[in-house]
Amino acid sequence: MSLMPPKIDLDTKHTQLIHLDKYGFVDLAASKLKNRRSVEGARQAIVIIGVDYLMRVFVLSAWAGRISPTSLCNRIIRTYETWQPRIMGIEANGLQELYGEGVREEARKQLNNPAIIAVYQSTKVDKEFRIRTRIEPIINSGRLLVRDGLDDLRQEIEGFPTARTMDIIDALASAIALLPRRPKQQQKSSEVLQLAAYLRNSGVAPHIIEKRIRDLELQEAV
Amino acid sequence: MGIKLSDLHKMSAQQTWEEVCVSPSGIPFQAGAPEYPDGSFIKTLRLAAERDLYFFGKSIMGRKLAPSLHLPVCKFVQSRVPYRKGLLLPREHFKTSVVSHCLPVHIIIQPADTNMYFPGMEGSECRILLACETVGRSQKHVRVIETAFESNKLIRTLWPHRCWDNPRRDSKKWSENEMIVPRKVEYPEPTVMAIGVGGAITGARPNVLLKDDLISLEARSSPTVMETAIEWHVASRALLESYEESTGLQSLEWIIGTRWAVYDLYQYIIDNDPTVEWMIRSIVEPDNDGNMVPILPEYNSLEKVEELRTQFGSLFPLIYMNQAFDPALVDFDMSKVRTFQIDDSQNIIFAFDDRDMKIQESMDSAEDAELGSSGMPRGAKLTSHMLDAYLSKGRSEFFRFRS
Repeated sequence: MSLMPPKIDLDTKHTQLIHLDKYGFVDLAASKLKNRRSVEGARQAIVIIGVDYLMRVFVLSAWAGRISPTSLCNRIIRTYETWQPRIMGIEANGLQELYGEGVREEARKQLNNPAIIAVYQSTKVDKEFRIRTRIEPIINSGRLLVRDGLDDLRQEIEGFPTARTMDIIDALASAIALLPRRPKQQQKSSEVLQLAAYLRNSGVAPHIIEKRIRDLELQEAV
Repeated sequence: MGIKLSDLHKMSAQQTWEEVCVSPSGIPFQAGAPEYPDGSFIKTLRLAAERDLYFFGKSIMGRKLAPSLHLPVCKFVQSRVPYRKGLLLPREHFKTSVVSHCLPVHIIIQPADTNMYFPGMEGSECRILLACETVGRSQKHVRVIETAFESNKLIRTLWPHRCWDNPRRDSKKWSENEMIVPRKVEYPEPTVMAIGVGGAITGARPNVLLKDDLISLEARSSPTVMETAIEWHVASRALLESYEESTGLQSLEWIIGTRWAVYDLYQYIIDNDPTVEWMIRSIVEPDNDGNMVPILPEYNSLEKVEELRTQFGSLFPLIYMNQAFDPALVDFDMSKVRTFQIDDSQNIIFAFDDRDMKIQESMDSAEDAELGSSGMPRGAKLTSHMLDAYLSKGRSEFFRFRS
């Protein structure tokens, strides 16, 4: 059973932020080597996306920069706290995994059971190919929506693959890879959703939450 | 004999050259009027040449400039403000002729009282650093400038005080790398100096920096070469700042070239240096009616442009259109990327259009497809009921048994 957000009525012409299922990704850019386009070297990037029932991808937040590991850790935790993503992935290739583990540990101290996971990106797959294959179908079907003001991201999309940087768009592609293949169309009552959220925040195991909600639905059906 | 500036502009270069004669004593006069040495015509001609780079390039230097393109280009180039100018023209549009050949000479011939580039300073006091991708290429440009001062009849006639009788004998520096014209103050730097990207520049203090095609095909295919060009550009900028700090005077910089890569030196400057003002032209541009026409119709036709487009493929938008975000170069169509806002009530506001309906339809059909065309769930066992369902839809010809 999925806990995907409820279907949005198309006639309303807008959706609400709380109805989006949010996912995030952190590109650590741990290498100090200059990338092949930038004279300054790769940047760290954090992207938060929200997805609705129609699998439209709303880019809610996109940041890129070069800050110290400690500052980056704080920024990751604050971003998680602000957006409360369902899953937040952190690139975990090689020694990055150690840093990611440190971030998770720190996040556990400050937040209640954060869903921060390590994501391994295959180094055998060309970065440009990876970005292109993940983002192209979404753009071509008109399902990518970028929040006003995220100009850095827009520039990277506009110039891909020949733009100077591709840090944010890479993080965006990785965040998109975290999305489930497709949500089931379900209309859950707000009470059920609130109960599920309460149980999640209480640290209840997922299979117990599933069972509890299934029981409730059976009761409603009867 | 009086003559107006407008009349001078109408004269071809050949006519101008034929109109100016020199007496045995070296005094210029208008053809047929030896009794008026250094008369009105000569004064007007000299003034027009000093004040107008286009006229100077066309009539004095003998370049084949076209008014439709080069008149506005020259006006942009010769304007003192902004102090740092970038000019991106398509290939074979005479940008080097204007900036690397004509402009240095034009700067040098300026008199102090009407100097357009450095008011109050004799043009001969300028120190021009002429930079190209390789030192060999910049040496060629210096050779053109030297030749102008050595053998251009009009320059030697109209501005004799800027020319040596025998430069190789009289000048302290007159080589393929550097040249010094007669000047009152002796500086460590020559009047014009050739340099290539990566050349040693520490300690030099030019007040004019001409950067002509710092990148080309090699830089396009080598990120290392491109980075070197960018780093050299940044380092050379410090030379001008050093001059400005020590003298309190303004230096000038011209950057000209053609795009060779989407992320190249020029994109770096556009992104990082707002002090540079740009003029960017394409080989074809829309006219008043919106039709695409060549900007240099004297040399290019639409047929030729199409031929170039075919010949150069994905390179065409860069080197002829100076457009880095041409659809041929990038993967994603930005018109398909939508935008939204979040209001105070945490509503996501975006333009609702046909695409949303199509997405809804495609999602619905995908849901239907999960049941399969027979109405049975995928992966269900082949029963007589399922077989009947297939056959009843007339699809037996597509029915396959799994081996």
